[in-house]
Amino acid sequence: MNTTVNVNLAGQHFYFDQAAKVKLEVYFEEIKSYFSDESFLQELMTDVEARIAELLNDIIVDSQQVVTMQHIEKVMEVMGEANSFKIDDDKAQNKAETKAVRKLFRDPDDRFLGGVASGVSHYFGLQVKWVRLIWLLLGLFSWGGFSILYIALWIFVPLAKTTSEKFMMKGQAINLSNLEKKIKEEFEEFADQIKNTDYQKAKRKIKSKTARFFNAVAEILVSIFHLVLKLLGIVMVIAAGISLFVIFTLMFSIGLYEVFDIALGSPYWPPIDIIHTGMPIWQTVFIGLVLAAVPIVYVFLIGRFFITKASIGGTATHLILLGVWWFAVLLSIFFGFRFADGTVNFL
Amino acid sequence: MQLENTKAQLRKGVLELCILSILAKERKYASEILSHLKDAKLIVVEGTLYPLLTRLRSANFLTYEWEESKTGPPRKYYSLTEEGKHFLSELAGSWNELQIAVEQITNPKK
Repeated sequence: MNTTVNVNLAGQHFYFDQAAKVKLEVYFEEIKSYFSDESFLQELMTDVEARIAELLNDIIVDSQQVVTMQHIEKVMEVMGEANSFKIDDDKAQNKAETKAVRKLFRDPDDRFLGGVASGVSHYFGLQVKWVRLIWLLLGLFSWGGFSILYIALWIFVPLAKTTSEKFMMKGQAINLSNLEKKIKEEFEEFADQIKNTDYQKAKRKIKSKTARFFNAVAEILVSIFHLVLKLLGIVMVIAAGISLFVIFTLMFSIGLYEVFDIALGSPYWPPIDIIHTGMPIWQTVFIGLVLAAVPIVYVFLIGRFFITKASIGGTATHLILLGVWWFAVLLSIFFGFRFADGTVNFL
Repeated sequence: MQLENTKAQLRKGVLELCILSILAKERKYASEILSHLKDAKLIVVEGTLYPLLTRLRSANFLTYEWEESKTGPPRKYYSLTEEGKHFLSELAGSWNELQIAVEQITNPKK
């Protein structure tokens, strides 16, 4: 059984076998490494991608078919090994090292619970046993408060699933020599395991028992945490929804008061007319309500995030919301001063 | 020193001249240029062509325009610029000189 992944090549969609994707990724990285200083790198890669997409379309029968290692090898037969892209041999010799990116992932190959400790140890370049020791100490001295942080990391830090993600987790560059090294390592590990089967079996049994117990406990904790978050989210969304409804109703009704002159002679309720800012009352009220509404909108968005994991809103949304809010803050400061220095008075 | 390597070096040296000559007659897209080069057994794999095309393009010797094709995605048609034509005539000149020089040395006539 193999995992398939979605791959976009020059705007065209393909289903790739995991191994095929890594193979093509390594191929692209190696080609890029020969031209990393060149201004035409992007243009070249676009052309190459488009050509490979074209070749793949010729090879596979229908768009549902999964692209496998064999297909990639066929493509590479036509395109040639990555080093056939080299233009100047002497210049490209030492370029095989690509820039390494380091990202925080959880390590699926070395996990006691969620693989958080090993992920963190890769990220900071520490030995995993020290991180686990620190975890233990933190857990003891924070009276369990640390476990919330641990669970949060477990939830929000992704698991390194693909080979390239594992490279990123360890901060290694994704290139041919590294990939070869990795495959070799895995093979040797496998060979070792066969040699020490009995020892491994015994060890795995012990570890898996404890791990299974902790995993079960941890899964329950995680699901409780998710449930609490969801409940909190529902409360937030309902409360914010009602508040916003009230605020909008107030905006309209107070505006209508004045437009239709209904309020003349009769006292306002709420008695907002004691604040005279020198402009129509509905505008004063409007500013006040915007001040209140924007934070409530955020409560609503965060609550919705807890329930559905939907995004809290794009940059544009935040810019508009915060912009409007700051404008209202500035206006209310301005009128606050005018009110205070007596330019405008109580009725 | 390997024979294959040296052969590849020899071919690569004249590839730019050949690409420019192919495009001197009429504009072509990558696969057409490829089939010319493959027929002449100048290149074996496609990978060699693409960096040369983009490099010549970024040196302003080539320019391209997109054109719809009946089958598949739009194609990038390459053609020579004025600078490219000049560069080609320079290259062709030194190729002739080189050819004569190599001929003299490899087949010395008594």
